[in-house]
Amino acid sequence: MARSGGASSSSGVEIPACGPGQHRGRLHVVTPSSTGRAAQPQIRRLALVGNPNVGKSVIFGALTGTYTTVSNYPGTTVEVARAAARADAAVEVIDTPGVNSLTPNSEDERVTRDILLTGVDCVVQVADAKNLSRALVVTLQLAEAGLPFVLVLNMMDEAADRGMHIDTVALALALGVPVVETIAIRGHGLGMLQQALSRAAVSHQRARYPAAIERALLRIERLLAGFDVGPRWLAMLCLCGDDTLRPWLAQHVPAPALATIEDAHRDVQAQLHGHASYQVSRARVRVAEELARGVTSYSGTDAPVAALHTRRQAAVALGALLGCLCLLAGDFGLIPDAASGWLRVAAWLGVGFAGVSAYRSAEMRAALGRWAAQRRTGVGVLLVVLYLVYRFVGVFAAGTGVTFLEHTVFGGYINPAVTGVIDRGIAAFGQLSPWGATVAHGVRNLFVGPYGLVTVALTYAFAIILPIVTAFFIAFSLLEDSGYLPRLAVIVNRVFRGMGLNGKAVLPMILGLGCDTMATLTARIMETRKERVLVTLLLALGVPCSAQLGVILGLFGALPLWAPLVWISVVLGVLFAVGFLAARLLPGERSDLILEVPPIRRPQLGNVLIKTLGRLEWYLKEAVPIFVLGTLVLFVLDATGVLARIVAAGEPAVVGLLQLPPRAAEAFLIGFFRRDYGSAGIYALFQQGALTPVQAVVALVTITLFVPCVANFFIIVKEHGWRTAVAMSAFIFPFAFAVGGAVNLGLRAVGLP
Amino acid sequence: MNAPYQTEGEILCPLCGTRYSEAEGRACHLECPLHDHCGRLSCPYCAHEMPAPTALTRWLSRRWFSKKREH
Repeated sequence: MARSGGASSSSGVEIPACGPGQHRGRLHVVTPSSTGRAAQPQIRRLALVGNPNVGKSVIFGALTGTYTTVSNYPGTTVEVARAAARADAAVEVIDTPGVNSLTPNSEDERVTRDILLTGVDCVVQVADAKNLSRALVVTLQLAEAGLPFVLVLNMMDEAADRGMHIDTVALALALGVPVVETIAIRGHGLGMLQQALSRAAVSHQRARYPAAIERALLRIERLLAGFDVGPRWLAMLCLCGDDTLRPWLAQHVPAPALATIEDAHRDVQAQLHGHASYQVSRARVRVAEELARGVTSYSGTDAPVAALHTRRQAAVALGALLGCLCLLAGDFGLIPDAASGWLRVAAWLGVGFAGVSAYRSAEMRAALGRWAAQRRTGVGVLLVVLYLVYRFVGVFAAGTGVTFLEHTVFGGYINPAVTGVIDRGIAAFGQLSPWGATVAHGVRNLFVGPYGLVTVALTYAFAIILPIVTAFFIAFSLLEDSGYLPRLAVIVNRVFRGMGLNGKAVLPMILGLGCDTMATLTARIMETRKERVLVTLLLALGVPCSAQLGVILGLFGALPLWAPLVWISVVLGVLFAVGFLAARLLPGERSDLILEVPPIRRPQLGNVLIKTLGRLEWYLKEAVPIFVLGTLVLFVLDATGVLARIVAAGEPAVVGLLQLPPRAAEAFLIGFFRRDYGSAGIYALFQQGALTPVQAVVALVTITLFVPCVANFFIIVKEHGWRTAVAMSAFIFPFAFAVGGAVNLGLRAVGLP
Repeated sequence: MNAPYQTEGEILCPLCGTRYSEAEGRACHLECPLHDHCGRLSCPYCAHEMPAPTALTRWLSRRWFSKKREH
């Protein structure tokens, strides 16, 4: 049965709120005459569709009775719940998996697409009212699919808390379908939803695509008429290169028509240089955002501001930028000593002025939010953020915190006190036999020797890493709580597009900055095994985890400014080169990154403190025992003479190729346990004056690209098997040393110290 | 106010904005051979990790945010 939709003048009718306790629920009905087509006279199959986590299951529970069948969708592991409607047992209600698009990018989205393809009489689209534009992207696709639907704006209370007011009458008129406001979790508005089902209608709203796509749509739409869903949607799936539709098309469309469709797809790909799905997504997002903007108003402090270019905003941006540039120039030694002090004060005043303005003014936060996500300004904001994090973690925490804890607390009090207690304990035994003296010497070394639990494990954990990771966790929590991370993902996504990588690869990479082990698990969101392996390889190769990044930043605080610039250039260059090469070797359709971008918020002190404490608690529980274990292993290896042999075996690479002192091999060895532990070893060597700045950079580059830590290795084994994990390590190990060697040669060639 | 650990045991993901329960956040532990009870939660939508609420952070969270609400 072919369906057609067409726009006509709309008229809206508002039905007042339903019964007691449901005062928040409102239904805006557009009469059937105002839409392209009236609802099905009789509903037999009703599907709930919507983005993930919008409350579909709660509404499903409200619409159905107690007898729910949950089963895997045929051929998949995706669960789909079905049940008879509470109001009419003859109606089957289907709770589909959450989607961000009906052009499938995941198995969940494929299942939802298939359910719609097999024919439903009515759709209830559940939307998170706070994220209206994200929901409207799906609405536009339901409109193209020609399916009668009702739009449910759920979580209206949370939208109101954010100062959002949605004009649902205007939205119902713009879409030509009933719009119902609900707070499903409290049961508000669900009565109205029941009433609206009989008025479900096909929306006349359409996104306009680039001319090449519109021409191709016209060409193939007529070949796809006569099905339960609209030909425009089917045609769009074909043009976007949805390969999973091929079996269905082969079954339902004659071969000559299929050939024409293939031709049209190829033409569009050629004209748009392979970016058809990207252009389609952009067009939909543009229309959805326009629609959402037109019906949404704000009150209170979170109101976004349309105009950015006020003098105040320009002054704030200029203040922050000039401040950072002055500090940077000071770090490079470009400012004469006499002027340095005053300029530093002025620079910090500029940065502080920008920070206070952003904290106090909603307008500034809105402007900052847009700058952070925009193509031209986003990289500038990212550089300012990175520089400030470096100053806080690398200069302040590593300089002041580590010096105090390592030299004053551990060096001045704890280590001498423990050494004194042990020495007094040994002395209490009086004259010892040769065997007893050996044992006493071993016990002393176990605690306060060169690989002692106190002098190495606890000193590294508490004096070197703890102050640095504390500062890093504070900075990370501030960024999290301010809403900057999704914007970072948007900017990184652009870089990844440049590499030719799938947009979905962005999330594991961002998450890898927290923990590579956890991020390796998220590589599952990639479509093919090749993509999953590639993302895992990139994670293991060049994405430092939060603790390692903190220690590296800490060491940079003591190095000249060229050191972090070289390190970041080399690591990004390696990632870019491997990603670029791999993307050429692994061709395939790129998918888009769909992420809700919240407004920039004032970080809440309580949130930042609690999250930092939570992370520190985790660090102390997980990392410190591994430090103790690693030090014990070193102690045993040293006592048995194996360590000397390992150091000797590693000399050709460590001393010959990297030109590092032999003891650096120990840092690489303990890097197997945890990468931050290895980095702390390099930090300690630098502090002892055993490394020059060039050697420190070479060692840091090598350990950043070094083999994954034990936890990450085992998760790679679990995800990809022993062969892949060993092959990956076998590639990374010599590669890291080769890059380190090249950096060493390059830096020495330009005459750096 | 977006408390990291809501009173109902709900967690707000700072990366994608998803609200999820502690149990959903711990689902990753079932798949991880090394990190059972590692003290971290993973967002079921985007996998962004958060420190799992502990007795200390729960107590602090309750104290801090109940005080804020009183004000």
